[in-house]
Amino acid sequence: MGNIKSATLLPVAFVFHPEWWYKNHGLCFERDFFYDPDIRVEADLQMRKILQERFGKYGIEQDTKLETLPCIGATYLAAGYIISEMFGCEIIFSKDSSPQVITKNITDKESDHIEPLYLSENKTFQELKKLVEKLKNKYGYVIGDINWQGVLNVALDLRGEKIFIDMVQNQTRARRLFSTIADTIKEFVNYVRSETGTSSISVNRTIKYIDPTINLHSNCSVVMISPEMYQDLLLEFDRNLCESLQPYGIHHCGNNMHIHASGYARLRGANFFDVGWGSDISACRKILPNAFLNLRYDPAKMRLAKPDEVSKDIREMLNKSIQLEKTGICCINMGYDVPDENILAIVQTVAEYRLKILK
Amino acid sequence: MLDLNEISETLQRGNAGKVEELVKQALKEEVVPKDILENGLIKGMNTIGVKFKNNEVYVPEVLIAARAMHAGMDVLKPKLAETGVKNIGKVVIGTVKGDLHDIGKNLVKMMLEGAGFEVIDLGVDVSAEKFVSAVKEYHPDILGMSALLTTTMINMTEVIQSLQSAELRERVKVMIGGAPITQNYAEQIGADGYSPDAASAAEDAKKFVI
Repeated sequence: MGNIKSATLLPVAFVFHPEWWYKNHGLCFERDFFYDPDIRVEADLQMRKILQERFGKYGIEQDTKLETLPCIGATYLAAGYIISEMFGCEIIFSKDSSPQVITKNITDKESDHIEPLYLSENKTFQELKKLVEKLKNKYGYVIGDINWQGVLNVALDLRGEKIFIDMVQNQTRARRLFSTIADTIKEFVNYVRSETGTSSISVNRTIKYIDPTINLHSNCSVVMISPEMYQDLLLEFDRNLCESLQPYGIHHCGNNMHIHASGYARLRGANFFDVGWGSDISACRKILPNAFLNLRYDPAKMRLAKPDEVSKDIREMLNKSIQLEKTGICCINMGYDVPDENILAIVQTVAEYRLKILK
Repeated sequence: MLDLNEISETLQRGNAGKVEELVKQALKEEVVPKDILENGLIKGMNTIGVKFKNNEVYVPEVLIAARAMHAGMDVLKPKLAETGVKNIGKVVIGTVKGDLHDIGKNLVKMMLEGAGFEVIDLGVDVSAEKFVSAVKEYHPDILGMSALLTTTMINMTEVIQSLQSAELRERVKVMIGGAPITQNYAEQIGADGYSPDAASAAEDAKKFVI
């Protein structure tokens, strides 16, 4: 397993919830934010400026260029919706929230007959393509990417809770849906990375500092199933994606990555893992000794804890990961009232560890 | 004579058809409906709840067990009504405003029903006004609120404040839960209870009514 070594020692990434951007800086996240070329580019620049002005002194986004860049997706947000939208789920866009997917609740029959999408005929994909083409015409190139979710996440958006019933009582039906989603994801990711060179900065910004070409598959919903069920039903799709989309990583934001780590260890060629807050980091490191572990801090705790407590938590997390040259720290989806002091606490704690390593 | 443990075990395996059949058989054998409920269906759901809490089973297994429970309850309900068996309490439940996630809330609902509560489900994206109206209309013992997002959990405070303004706060116990919620947060906003998982929610709810 694994040759990933970060160019930035102990990279740190912060992602704020739209509420933070809206309440503190007036940015809105309606549909135009994602699909209108002019608004897209303007909002992207504004976000970079805000981050640099507010946190540049902490070293965050310090080297960001403050010029308009043709960025096709929201790489400063956690916003997974587009694959579900492509499959026909209704999406609610709002000024202060990430796009929310309305579960489609497809029937047994619809599930049994579902087919991979033809991107050339897909309305949502064509809207994205139009955005890409417009930006390319104007700038000559495009950058950035769009969160492409994950197989079980999208299955839940399409089938609702019934996907869990299928996984126990009708595995043929579940596999058909997973396979269809995986095929669509593959085609979508290949398109995006062929245009921009990346696919997953929008899933976790840490990869920007390690290897921006990593393709990060979101396994947010895997927290709800047993390791046996993951390995029986979903591992094959992760394997398939992993073979096609190299370099490959897994985003496991649930609090039980340690129970799924053995399954993930069976994914040859997956070298990067987002480790959800509450997971047993020591156990993950033991099972994935050479992988890059990107440790996620709790955004709820970031709101309420004192800086000392945040520093203490970060120290504990880093100590448990052991291989610090293969470790990152991130905190994603922080709300409007997260104190800047807590951001600084993370930055300073990580800086201490960087110094220790360099000595 | 049917052993009610068989109903409990079949329910835990999620075999809805068989549970329905066994409940019918028990009624035919003139087993008291309350016994079928308590020593068959509720016992089965309680066991599933404990296993869920201990990470021995996961969401899919709880869902299929709950379906089996419903299959049994559909047969049993009219008989329970005839014999005057009542629910142990009433809960109004919903996911707070701005939050469309419902799996956690649905699991809690299932575990509460499995524990013998009547549950009125307000769905997702429920405003403070809607929670207050439901308390006025249904007179529940407990109001349950769920939030998955750190950015929507703050709306729980608004609900509690609205209950106070409507002078309903003393009439109902408020329980909260969801991924970002903690005991500390529950205390901070003045909720009566916090449960870290669906099974604990059912256990904690019982303490408020028994």
